[in-house]
Amino acid sequence: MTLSAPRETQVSSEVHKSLGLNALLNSVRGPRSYSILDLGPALEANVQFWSQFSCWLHIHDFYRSYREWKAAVVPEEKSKETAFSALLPFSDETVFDIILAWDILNYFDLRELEALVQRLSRWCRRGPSFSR
Amino acid sequence: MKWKKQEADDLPTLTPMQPPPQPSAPRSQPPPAKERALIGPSIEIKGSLSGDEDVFVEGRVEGKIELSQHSITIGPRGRIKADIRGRSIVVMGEVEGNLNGSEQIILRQSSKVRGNLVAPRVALEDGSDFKGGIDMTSKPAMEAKLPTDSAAVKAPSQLLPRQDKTGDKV
Repeated sequence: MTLSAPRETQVSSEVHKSLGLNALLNSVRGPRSYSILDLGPALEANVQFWSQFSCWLHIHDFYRSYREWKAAVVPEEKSKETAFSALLPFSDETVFDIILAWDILNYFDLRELEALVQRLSRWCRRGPSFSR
Repeated sequence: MKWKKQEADDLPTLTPMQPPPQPSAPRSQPPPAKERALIGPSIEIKGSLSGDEDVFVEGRVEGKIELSQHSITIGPRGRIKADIRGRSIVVMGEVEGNLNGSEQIILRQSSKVRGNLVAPRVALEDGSDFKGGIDMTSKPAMEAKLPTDSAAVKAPSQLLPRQDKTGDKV
């Protein structure tokens, strides 16, 4: 992605502390459209922010879905791989330029993380950005 | 720009201009309120809903809602399993289906929506339960200037700790 944002449009880091997110947001300027998977809850400010750009924003509160899945499924049927397949039901043709994982990665152990990232990676365009 | 009360206080008070007195006209009925059909909470429709007026849905609709030139409001008690096409779509209830608004789509705090949204303007209030895609590709990129004040660049704000988590590992 090309970093072409003029100085005055640089995103402020006063609100969030992620340098990676700053770099990401400053790079999504330009004529092209982006497809974005937001794994957090739907927030007004975020939708408003992305509405400035030409993009396809898919909002999927993954942690909430996962909690609901855990509550609904009997323990012996609980398989993380099954859950991730059911909860992220995108087609193989789907491609995301950006996946915003926020802090949900903090709530999974390494094995779960591996399964989740493996699941997500099938829809990532080459050179994806994970922001957390 | 963040609204400051001080600034508001400094603004001169505007008084609506009084129209000059008119010769008394014959009394007539007040103009009718904008027509809007109401689908009440006890109504259940299976099939296609179309027409030529705005509609407010508090009942259940399963199938398709198509009022391309009009406003469609799904009230808090509305339960919809249908694709919706309208000029302006406001959701306060539950919708399972794709929404296509030629002007705008607004998801209120009480809404629960599963589906994709397509509209030039999409507004989503915090607290609304939305899962799906929002197509924002119809307008030219960089059409709007990026915000320069810190209030406007709060988003994306989800780096802040989520309030709904207990801190437990899943």
